[in-house]
Amino acid sequence: MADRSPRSGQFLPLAPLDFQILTLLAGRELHGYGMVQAAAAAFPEQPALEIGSLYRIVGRLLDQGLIREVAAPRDEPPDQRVRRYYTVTALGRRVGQAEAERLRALLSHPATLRLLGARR
Amino acid sequence: VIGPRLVALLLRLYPAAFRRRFGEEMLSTYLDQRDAGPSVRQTLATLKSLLACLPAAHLEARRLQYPPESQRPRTSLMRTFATDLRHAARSLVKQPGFAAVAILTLALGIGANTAVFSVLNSVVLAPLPYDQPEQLVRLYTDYRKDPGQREFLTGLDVLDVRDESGAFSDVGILYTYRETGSDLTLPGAEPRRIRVLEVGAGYFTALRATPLLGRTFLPDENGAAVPRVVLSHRLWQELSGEDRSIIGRTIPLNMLDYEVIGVMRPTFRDVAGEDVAAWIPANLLRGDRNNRDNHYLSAIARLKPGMTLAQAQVRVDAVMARAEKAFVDSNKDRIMRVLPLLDDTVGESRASVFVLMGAAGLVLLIACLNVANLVLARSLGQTRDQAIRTALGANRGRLIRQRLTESVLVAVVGGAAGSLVAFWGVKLLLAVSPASLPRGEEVGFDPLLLGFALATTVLTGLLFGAAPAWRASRVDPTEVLHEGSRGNTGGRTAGHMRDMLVAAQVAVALVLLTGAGVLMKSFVALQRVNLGFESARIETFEVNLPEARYAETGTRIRFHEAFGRKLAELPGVEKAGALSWLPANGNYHIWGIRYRDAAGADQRTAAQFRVVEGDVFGTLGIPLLKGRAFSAADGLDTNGVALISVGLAQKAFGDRDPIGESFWRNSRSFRVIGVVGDVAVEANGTVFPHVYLSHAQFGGNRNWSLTYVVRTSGSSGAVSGPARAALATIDPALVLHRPRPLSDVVAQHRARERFTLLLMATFAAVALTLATIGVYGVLSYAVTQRVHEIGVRMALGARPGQVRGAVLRHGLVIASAGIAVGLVAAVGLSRVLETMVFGVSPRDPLIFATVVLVLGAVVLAAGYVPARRATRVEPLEALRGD
Repeated sequence: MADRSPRSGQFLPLAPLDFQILTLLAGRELHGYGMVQAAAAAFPEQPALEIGSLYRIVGRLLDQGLIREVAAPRDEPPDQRVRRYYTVTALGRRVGQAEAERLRALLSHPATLRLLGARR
Repeated sequence: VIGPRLVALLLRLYPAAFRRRFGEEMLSTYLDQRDAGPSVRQTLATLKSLLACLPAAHLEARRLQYPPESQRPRTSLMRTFATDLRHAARSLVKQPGFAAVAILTLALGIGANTAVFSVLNSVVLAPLPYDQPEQLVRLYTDYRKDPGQREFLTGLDVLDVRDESGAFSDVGILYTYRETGSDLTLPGAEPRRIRVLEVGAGYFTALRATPLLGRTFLPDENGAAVPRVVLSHRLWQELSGEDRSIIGRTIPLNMLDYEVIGVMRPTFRDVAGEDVAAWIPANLLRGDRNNRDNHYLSAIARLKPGMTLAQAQVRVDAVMARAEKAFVDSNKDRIMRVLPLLDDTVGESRASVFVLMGAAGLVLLIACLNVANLVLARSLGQTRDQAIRTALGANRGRLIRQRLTESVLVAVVGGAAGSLVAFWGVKLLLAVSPASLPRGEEVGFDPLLLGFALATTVLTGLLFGAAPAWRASRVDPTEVLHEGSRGNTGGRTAGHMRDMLVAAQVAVALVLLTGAGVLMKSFVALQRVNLGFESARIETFEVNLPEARYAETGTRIRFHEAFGRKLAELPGVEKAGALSWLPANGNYHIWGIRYRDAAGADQRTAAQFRVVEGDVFGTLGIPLLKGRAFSAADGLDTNGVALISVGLAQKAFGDRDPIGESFWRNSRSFRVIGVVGDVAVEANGTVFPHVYLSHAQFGGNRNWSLTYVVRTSGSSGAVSGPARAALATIDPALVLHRPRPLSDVVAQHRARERFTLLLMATFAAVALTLATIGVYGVLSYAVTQRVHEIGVRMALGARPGQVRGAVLRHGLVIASAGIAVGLVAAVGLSRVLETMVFGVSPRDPLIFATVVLVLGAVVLAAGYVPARRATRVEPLEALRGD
């Protein structure tokens, strides 16, 4: 029987924000605001991650099986707010790596380098 | 403080599914963000992003719900069908009322059709159960001057045709008169009478029927009194429990020992009927009883290979023409008719079976129209759903397919229920069908039947689903969605379509009602026909005297005189007598007679001969119009005397006084001593000349099997017990055979008419009911849809009468259209009833007028309820509902 699991190639190329969130959640468990903070810290020169697009992307990545929800950590402050924590799945990790490889190949291509050199 | 509210407000604009999934979480995240460092700029950015993502979120939500065709995974036709089927099943379960009515209606229609078709199939369509049945024919005596008779054959005519025509490979001659029945007397058992046919050697070979054991007859066995017998499989089982050593043993028939020479196969079906228990050789010797005047034989024949019916008829005509030349006295104008055996077996039942099939088809049509209407009404409620799907790119073919799947599902469930209805229906049909229904015993399950039910079912589903599906696919989404929240009526076209469907139902109902009306009037006419005798409170039974112990004429005469006297003395018996064949029971012993007309010239005619004993005329209420009845003085050694019917008296002797006139049968002369009233020879009142002879005088002609008729003063049936006891005091070995009231005998001959009428009336009643439901449904729906309009009118001062009138007018318009179309169709179709009706025109204006009135009244009644409801509309309520 053929391998039924989705192949990472079918998700590529990822939308930039999707890739960004995937990298944020790699090896980490973050909630919504956590992702906003992490994004601001990691990519200060990128436009801020706003709530509307954040959750559209979270929904999409959940549906595609690239991220999953995990149990909240014990140190969660005891208030009424709903905070769900997310992390990448094995598939999400593979897809993120594949996208990174794709981008690296793209960036290290002589044509790209020529373009970067011209700009410099 | 205003931030969270604005965020919550914007979130409300998101698709419900998305909001349920992330709404609270998004709000929490916003609050977390704000707690970290509240700023107006941050809030504005959040709001801007929420607003910007709104359209995309909606689009995504819709794509999830209704993925466009191109992006959907390619599914096989079966997968699509399975999905549609699930969808259809769910939507039907959600509307059990609709499903129940639709399925029940279809079950009735499909069930009735399958049941009637199973009869049609077995009786008319299926070939006869013999090898190459298309070669089989039946032979009848007919007359050039009065064609259409199906008279018995004379021995010499049929032997000539067998030997000289060269048209047939085999001719099977059989003698079916009931004198050929036999009393079977087995040691230790009550004697009983079984049906035995006398047959010629060619009988089994013509049918290509081979025996299971032993052999059938040889030509040289068709002599006088050859005591050999072939048993039916059933009789073999009963006699010996399938003991193969029965061949060569003897069984006692009519107290004579017959040697068993063969046993037929269980699959063999005799042409004369299912109840034939055994066959013995017929006496086919020339001379003896085989002359050119004794019409008593039947014959089947097998055409030579390659011989057509017409060619065979030409050859038979040639033989009969030679006989006519050679035997002018007996054979003048006499011909012999060759008919296909299937036509002959099915005979007159064919027309009624086909008419019933047509009627059942109309019932199914009405059922389809009704369900189409239901489906249409239901689909109007789904128009918005349909429009949204179309707007989102659902493909039109797919929508139609979905609708049709639903229809076919309803039809299939209806068909399954219909098969049950058919199963019981066939049983019911056979239970109420006349015993004379030919081949009734062959009616049963047939793969063809299942195919028929299946085809009917699917066709039905497509038929009633097509119109609504077609309409649904043409829904214009912009129009429907623009209409806003006001319930839509499905537009003008849908309303018209529903009106037309109901009008069609009224038309079909009218056709069925007029058909039923004509048959009913015909049946009433048949019941009222004067048969020339009374049948109330008269019991009948047969007594047959076995040849072995009653070989002598005097013994038989003395037995019948003695038994007749004993019967008359029984308590509760007013009068009693016996005769050789009951009236209104068909032709029997039609013999040629010769008489002299006023000019003294010899003339010939034919009459039904009946041998009578005791007070037959008094018992049956047949009036003695002239002369005297038989007396004790008319005996074996006195001159032959006869009573004749008034019809024969007029035909033969005209204005002359028939008393004292003579006529001749063969060389024997009879003097007319009395004239009695005409009696019918058929249950439809057909009169034929009759001659009555006294058993005391004519009992030597043959061993007559007499049927006793007993007029009782008490309840029916009570007489057979005492009569049997009286019979036993004279001869305990005799059989009192087939006791039954005379009225049953007559009714049995009208059973086919009764049967046809019963079914037709049932179909008409179902049709009327369905049409009524249809009218009611359409008008109620129209009132519901127009509540607003009615409310406005009433608010503007319309009187209840006007409102009621408007609804009823709508009903009447539908009804008139249906009635007009129905009348044309009914007149056109009335021709098919022509051969089936008696004493009434199939276009009887009174019946048509009555049906129109009944239909009009029913439509008005059906419309009255919704019309009243319309007048109860509260104007304010109706307007507020907007």
